[in-house]
Amino acid sequence: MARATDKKYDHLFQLLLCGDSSVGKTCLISRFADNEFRHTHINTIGIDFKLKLFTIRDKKIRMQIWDTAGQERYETLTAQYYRKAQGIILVYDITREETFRNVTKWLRNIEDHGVKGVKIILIGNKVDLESERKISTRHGQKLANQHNIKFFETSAWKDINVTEAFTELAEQILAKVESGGGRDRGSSSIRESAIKLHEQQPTPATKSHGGCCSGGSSN
Amino acid sequence: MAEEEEDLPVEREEIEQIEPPSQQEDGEKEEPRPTTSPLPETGSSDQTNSPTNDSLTLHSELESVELSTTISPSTPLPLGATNGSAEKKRQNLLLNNNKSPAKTKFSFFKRKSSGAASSGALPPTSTTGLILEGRPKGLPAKTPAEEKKHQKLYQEMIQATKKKELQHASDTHKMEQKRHTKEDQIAVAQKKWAEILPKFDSLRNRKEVKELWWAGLPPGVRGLVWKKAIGNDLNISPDLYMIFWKRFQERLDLAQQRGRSDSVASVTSISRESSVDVIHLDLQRTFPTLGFFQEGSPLCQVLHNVLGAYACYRPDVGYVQGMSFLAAVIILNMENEADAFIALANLLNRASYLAFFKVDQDQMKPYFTVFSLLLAESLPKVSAHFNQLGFHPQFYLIEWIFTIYTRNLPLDVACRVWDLFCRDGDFFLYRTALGILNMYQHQLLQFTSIEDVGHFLGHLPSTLDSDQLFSSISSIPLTEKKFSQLLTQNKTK
Repeated sequence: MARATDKKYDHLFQLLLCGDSSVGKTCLISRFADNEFRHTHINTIGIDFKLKLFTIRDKKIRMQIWDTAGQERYETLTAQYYRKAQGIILVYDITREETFRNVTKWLRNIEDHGVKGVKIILIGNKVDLESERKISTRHGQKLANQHNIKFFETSAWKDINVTEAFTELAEQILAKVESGGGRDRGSSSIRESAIKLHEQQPTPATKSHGGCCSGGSSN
Repeated sequence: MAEEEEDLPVEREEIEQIEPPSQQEDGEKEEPRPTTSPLPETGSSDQTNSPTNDSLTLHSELESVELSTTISPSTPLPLGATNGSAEKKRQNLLLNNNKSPAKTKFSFFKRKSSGAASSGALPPTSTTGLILEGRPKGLPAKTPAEEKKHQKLYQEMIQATKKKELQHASDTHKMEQKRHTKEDQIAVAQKKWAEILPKFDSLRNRKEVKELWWAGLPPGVRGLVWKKAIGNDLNISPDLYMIFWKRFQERLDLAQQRGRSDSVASVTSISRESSVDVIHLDLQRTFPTLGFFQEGSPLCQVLHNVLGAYACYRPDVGYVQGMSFLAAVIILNMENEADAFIALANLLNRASYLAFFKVDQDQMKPYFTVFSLLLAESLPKVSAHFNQLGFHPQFYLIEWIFTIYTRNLPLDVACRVWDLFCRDGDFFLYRTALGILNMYQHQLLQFTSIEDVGHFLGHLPSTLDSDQLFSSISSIPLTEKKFSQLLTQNKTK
């Protein structure tokens, strides 16, 4: 699955998922990347990543998806990865009010640590638990409208809207890259090795502090 | 064989395939039954016969946790916290644990292993014997040459099957022998440890004790040795634990009254005591496959208590994801709740752990830098490859260190790493990391993307062999002195 790394691709996109602990970030990624759902979850510690290759409008996209720990304490650790992301999926749990209330806080984080103009998508996850719903679709949509971002309600378990949400984000990034928007960030001051995989880089572990996003497209 | 089959006239081959004479087939199928049916029984009456790796792993996992499943408290109240003389009782209990509690473990284990045994040991059932039969009436009879050929084919198949069975039997036998040897070793070690324990402090640095320690602690004394080795520099008494446990209960009640709604607002304050409100989200995500910490289980309650009390005891640290795994492993090896709390608090009080669990980037950085240096020195190829990929030590070390390998190594292997971590201190965790990378060097060099390396290191093979790993670790010549020297150098930079 994740082995097709030697294949040519047109674009490398880096996505990041954030949101409160236990809203289903890892499950959304598993559903999208591997089309699987596990009922025995373990929490994400630090940072994890997955690869998904897919095609939009004849363009082969290599999607590197970064999964972050949801707990607020890990913010200092995960914030450095915001800078690398071209797209961010912000997730809340429709059955837990506080996760929705924290969306604003996460948006602030993205603003503080992310690159300017990063594409964001808001996801209300766990629609399979309709009877426990605390946040109405209207509320979610309203918040998304306020921040001018797309909104999806998903279920990683029942596989509802997951691919749609990821595809939408990829489309947005692709549009931006093709219009030249992605290049601008590529010329920003510091290059980070994790992005351009085939570039040689003698990187000490400490480098990540100075990380910044490099080009949106790479070949 | 395939070639020979190709020689056959096509139409005949087809006829053979579509012509399963029902009577004969029935007769064929009857035969293997007597050989298959005893197998599940063997598996259930004696788990040792389970031939698959899975069941072995499961066995060892259970072995390492057997104590706590049986002796652990079934009430939410912290056990021993009010009981001053718990120490002696517990020692007795533990030293005798091989008798009674093992039964409980057994019954749990039986079911799983029998499944594995039967699936792994099924003899090949086939209808290959059919080729010996003549063709049914109405079809041209086999020529003598063809018949001979079929006979030959049949004999070959039988030989192959026999060979397979012999191999399987010999594998099972070897595995059983290995297990017996291991069990004997454990029994001997257990005896030795029982003698060492009363004089632990004076004996712990002796060469023979250290060697015994290296082989891994027997499950029966593991908790006791850990307790002594971790110590109690913080001088936490069971009564003190009770105080924080009560404080935790108050917080829980308060949160319930408020419907957990205010927790978010207070997260940003200096005190992180409010992080107790999120612990419940992680309880069931702690070793979910083992099932010990499922909702409503006694151990789940103990885990909640210990973590909640810790967040109240150290509000500057609070609850941080990852802690639940540390607490869980301690709880699985120490049946006394207050002991588990004391061990956790003292463990987390080590400088490196405070740095990690405060998620203090500046303090964590030297550890990553030192590790990178050590990696470049001891495994230059891996180091260069990782650098080329842009794969930083943070990507795997954070999880390994935060949870002391409990999420990435099979639990019995992780417990052995804990044993040595208790013996040698923090630096052993980094030595282990190098040992793992050393052991899988060849695989690692073949990965061409950070996702692949990351996935591999995050989900190390469940077949990972403890002895193999430890011999790999022992080939890494890292000493505590060197580690701390490097650390000091990099801290002052």
